[in-house]
Amino acid sequence: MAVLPADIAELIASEKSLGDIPVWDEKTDPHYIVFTHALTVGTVATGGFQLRVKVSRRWVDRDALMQLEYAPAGKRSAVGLWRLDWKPFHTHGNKSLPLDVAFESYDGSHQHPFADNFMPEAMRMRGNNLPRGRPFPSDPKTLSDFLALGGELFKIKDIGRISLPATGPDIFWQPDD
Amino acid sequence: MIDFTEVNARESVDEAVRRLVTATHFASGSIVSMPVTYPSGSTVTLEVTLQQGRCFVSDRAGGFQEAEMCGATRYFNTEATRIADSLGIRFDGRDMFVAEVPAGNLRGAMVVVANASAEAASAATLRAADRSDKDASDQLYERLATIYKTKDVQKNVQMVGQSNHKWRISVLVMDKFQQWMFEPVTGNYISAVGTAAKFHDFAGVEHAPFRAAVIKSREDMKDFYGLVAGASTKVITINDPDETFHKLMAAA
Repeated sequence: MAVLPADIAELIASEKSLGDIPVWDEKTDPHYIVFTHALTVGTVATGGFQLRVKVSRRWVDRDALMQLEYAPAGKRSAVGLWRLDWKPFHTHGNKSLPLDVAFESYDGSHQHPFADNFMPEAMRMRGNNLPRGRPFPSDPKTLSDFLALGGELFKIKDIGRISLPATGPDIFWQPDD
Repeated sequence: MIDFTEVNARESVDEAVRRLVTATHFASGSIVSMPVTYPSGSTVTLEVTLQQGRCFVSDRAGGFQEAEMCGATRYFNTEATRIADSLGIRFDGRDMFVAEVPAGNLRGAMVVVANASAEAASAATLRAADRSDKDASDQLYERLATIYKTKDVQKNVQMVGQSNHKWRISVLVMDKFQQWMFEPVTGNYISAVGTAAKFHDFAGVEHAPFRAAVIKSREDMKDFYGLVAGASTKVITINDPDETFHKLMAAA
């Protein structure tokens, strides 16, 4: 796990900007359409501080994620800082901490907040890939709403620059009611 | 189960058990959330499709994604290949799966694929943490080379302990008369236990070298602090001022 920048907590708390329009990668991942995009604070970009978004190829109404992360040049490891899982198929289960959400299980949307997973005294994120989760403040109904919520939580002021990928739902993977 | 409170324990248990495994069905197949978790606490979800009585069971690249989110995909590829080979299942670079399973054996196949995916993600995450220790080692070397300008500072030095085992010392500071070992150590099991074993082995040699464990913080070490401290000459934090490092050397 790479060492985080000394001002990482300030970066998280600051208003951020995408700067330009992220470009979706529709080829690399067989399950998701993805992009990673450098974030700027004011006019300054911290190398490796970026937003990753993954949306499902099959479903337009679930199974997407947004993650703030730090991926410094020259290092093989990126560090997840704050992740939002929108209507995933998996359940997230907390361990014994934080106390107010100990042993909670989230069957639907949930987040892995920076504040719960950052260890300021050690200047690193907790091991095991953001193990502490919490529910969303509200559960978005659409992918557009989810991106908007991500912009609000992550403080990305121009999140509206993200255009949705031009894909429809996979008719073979619709609910079998 | 007898419960003397108003809560019906049996119903609570049954409800918890029911929710341990859930399935969502689609026209082409099913997505099943299994009671097996990745390091982050996410359950493994499987995709199951059926064609002509034969099942296809995949982890939907969930293990890959778990590793991807913490920058450990390189390690995941190695670990997933190793684990898939050992279990006789397949790995295509993203998904771990079994194809052509008779429907009667579906349950067993689901258990194997779910556990394989979780195990590969866990091993990859552990290896990424080990890589972090190597980064810490480079950082420590740069810091000590600046502080101890008048001494010989070397990194990744091989030395033999009392047991005759060859150990890699992260940073060794030397002058004509003495040697000082420095090891960056975290609250990670491998890091803490490995450093304690290494230091114990050198504590027993004649003219035992000075052994300094360099930690991020007391809190970071959790209950491994005592284990590491017991094997070290001194435990210091990486953020201590240069003066602390100089005093350390003078006192040795």
